[in-house]
Amino acid sequence: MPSILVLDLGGCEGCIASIMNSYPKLEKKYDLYISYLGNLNLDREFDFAIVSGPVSLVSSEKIDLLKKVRENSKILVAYGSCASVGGIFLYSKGQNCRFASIGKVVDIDYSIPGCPPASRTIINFLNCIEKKGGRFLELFKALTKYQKLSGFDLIDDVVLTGLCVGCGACTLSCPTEALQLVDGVPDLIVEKCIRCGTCIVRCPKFTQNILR
Amino acid sequence: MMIMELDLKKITLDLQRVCGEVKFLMYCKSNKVEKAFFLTNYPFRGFDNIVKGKNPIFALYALMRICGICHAAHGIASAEAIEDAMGITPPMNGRYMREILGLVNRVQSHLMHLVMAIPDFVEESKQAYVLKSTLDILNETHSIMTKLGGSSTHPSYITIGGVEKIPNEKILSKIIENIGNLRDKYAEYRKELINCLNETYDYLRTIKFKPKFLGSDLFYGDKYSISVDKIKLIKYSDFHDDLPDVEFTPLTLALYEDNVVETGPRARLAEYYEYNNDSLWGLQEARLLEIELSYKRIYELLEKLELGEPCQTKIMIYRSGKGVSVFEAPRGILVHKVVLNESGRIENYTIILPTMFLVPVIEKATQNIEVRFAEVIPRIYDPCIPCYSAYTLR
Amino acid sequence: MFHDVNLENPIGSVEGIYVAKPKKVENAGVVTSILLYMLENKKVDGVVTARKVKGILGKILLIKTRDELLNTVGNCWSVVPYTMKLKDMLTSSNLNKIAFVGLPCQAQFLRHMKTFPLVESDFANKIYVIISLFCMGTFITDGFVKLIREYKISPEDVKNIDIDKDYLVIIHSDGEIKVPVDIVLNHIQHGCLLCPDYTGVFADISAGRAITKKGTLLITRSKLGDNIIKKASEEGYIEVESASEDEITKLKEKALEKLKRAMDYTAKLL
Repeated sequence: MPSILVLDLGGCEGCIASIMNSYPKLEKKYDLYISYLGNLNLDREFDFAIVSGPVSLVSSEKIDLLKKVRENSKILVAYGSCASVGGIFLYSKGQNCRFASIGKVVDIDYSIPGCPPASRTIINFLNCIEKKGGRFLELFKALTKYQKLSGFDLIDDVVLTGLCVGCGACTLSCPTEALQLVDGVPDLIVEKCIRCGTCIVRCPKFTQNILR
Repeated sequence: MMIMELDLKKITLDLQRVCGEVKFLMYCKSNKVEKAFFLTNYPFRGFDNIVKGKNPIFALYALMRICGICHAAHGIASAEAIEDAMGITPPMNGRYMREILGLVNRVQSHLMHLVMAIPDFVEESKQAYVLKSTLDILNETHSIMTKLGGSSTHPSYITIGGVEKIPNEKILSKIIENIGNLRDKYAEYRKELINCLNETYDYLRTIKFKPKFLGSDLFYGDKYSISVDKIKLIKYSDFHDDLPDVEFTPLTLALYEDNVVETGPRARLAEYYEYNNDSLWGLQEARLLEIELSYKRIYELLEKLELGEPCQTKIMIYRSGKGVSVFEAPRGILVHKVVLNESGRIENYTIILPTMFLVPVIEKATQNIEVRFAEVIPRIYDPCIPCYSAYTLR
Repeated sequence: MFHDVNLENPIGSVEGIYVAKPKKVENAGVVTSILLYMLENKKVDGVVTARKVKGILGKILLIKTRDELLNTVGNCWSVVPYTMKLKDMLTSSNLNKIAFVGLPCQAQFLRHMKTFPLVESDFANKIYVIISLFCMGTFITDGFVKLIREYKISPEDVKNIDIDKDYLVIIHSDGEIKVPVDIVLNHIQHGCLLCPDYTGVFADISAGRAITKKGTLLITRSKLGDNIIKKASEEGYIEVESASEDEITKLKEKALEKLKRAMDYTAKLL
């Protein structure tokens, strides 16, 4: 069975908890290595490494750990908003507290935002990999180029550039209801945006653009 | 105490099956632990700085993301502190809904702890089965959180002034029905679980450990039943004068009236439910009992909701002010303190987390424990490192 | 699996292509008949679709009964946004299986939501089937209204809009007019000019006007979509025949047209 490492580098662990919920389904097809089960072992090779949480730039231990995970895994997935697009940790300040999405430190294969991604996401993702394809897989691959995505980017890159057609994908996707349609045009309630990136990843215009 | 005596053996455990990561350092003599240090290399995450200068609404959503296990607790505590600073109060419906969300979250958290603790005290042959049935109840609880809070992790309906919405009649009756079923299912599960326990359970039952307790309420949290000023924060390195020479993230501990106090399920039940179990197993038993009480309380509260009445005080007062809240998070007393500046933005934020109280308790509880059982002690207190690393004295 | 469009295959992955006509209910279109079949046979609890309010403007509706459904007619030619209100409607009801009718862009993000629920607040588990209408692009409402006013037509009188080769055919209460597509293009939303998807490749069922004969062209892209069409036809809601080679070729030409337009426009933009 393919092996999967699930590791949180310093996030809220909501992503791990959400993966744990799918454990009964996952264990049928995969060997899961995860600290919540007590079998975390970083000294072996993995077919998949699902890494959540941002990487602390002041902790050389975490940076080294991440690099080691990269070396030991065939496919490295940045899972959840913090790992993939930085999330709220982009706002962290102070000398002993600097974070970045993991793509800034190592090469990643897929980037899946979401705060946290619902349990089913991991299963469908692995299914897509098994079936080798699908456009959404390409999308998650293309997202690895981005280290920051949020409602702000949606407004700047899609709405203000005049590409928005007003389909409503972003408003329906936002977990904090930070996006509202004003006269058919999305507008961001800035104080509600937690930079999870779901809105822009769902935007048909943005995805059409980055996949071409 | 001089810990470097020659006959002391040093054991370092990289603990798994806890939220976050723990480096548990023990000095042992023959087969017992003499002294333990609860350290972590989890990166410090400085949530006070993340919200500084921000709009309170952002602060609420950001602070909820301190922890993916006790998200609602942080959301509620943060909302209450900000309301206190603004001088607004939520309507009854909002207050009830918050308590419901807090309790659903408490069940989620306790069950997730159980998932992790199963290998400790469940017979090996029955572990897989117990894990599956625990996850089953957990997933059903998640779906109730999704219906009530908007999302099973980081429930987005918690907001300043109350909650954004309450379910309509149809949904509500469905949820009440679900909670009723879940309560019965859990009662069955608990009976079964008791028959699956192993020798660790027998051992923990024999170890008496009863520190001072600190609880503010059985369900919600009450800032008037404890005195927040008496909580003293102290740097971990100042608390111990005999720190071992290892690397760890400098974090902060909390004391009450200069004492090490236990907070969480056992403390709550001891102070408000006449619960009396002095053994270390009492911690886990209290947690199992709390799940049952929570389901019951959620059921009662859902029936108290007045449909058609408001659930949110929709006034935001952007002015300077100070606010404090005390909430009974799954792991115990959670305090959020906020200072708003003249334009109503966050000037200063302090978070006192349950694990700050629990770390010295864990260290104390591990003393004189047989080494082969020592790993279980920190875990039975359910420390949460993502929370613990969210704030520190600077 | 739902595949993206490319120059070799501008209509995406296909399970079956049919030409259908409504059968059971008069005056209802094929899509409405399929929805009716699903509602009446309890395949879905509800339908989310747009109703024309006036002129080219529409409104999104959650429909639960036959009568409500038969009141929604005509295509809107403006994007009718799925709003927060829709999310409210869906989360505050016990409806669990919903059929969505929308445009290709909406089908895309709904499919995304269904396959990858990125946040737990997603209502993805309620989406049962996605139906997309063919789309050449949508108008900037005001500009388009001004344009048809020049032809002395009031937007309230617009009955239907169609494309016939290089002309846009606007059917209104007193007849029809033909507007050259070049002129119309100025009033199409820029985002739509970037869109390569004519048929809605992420839907279970795509529907649009047949070209070579009278009727509605249906493309099914999943087993689910194909079964729905077959059952709806068995139950006598629609009449279905396989599309001719000629029809498919013409469809591909039209889809290719939109794809090429998108490629040109993207190149221009970058």
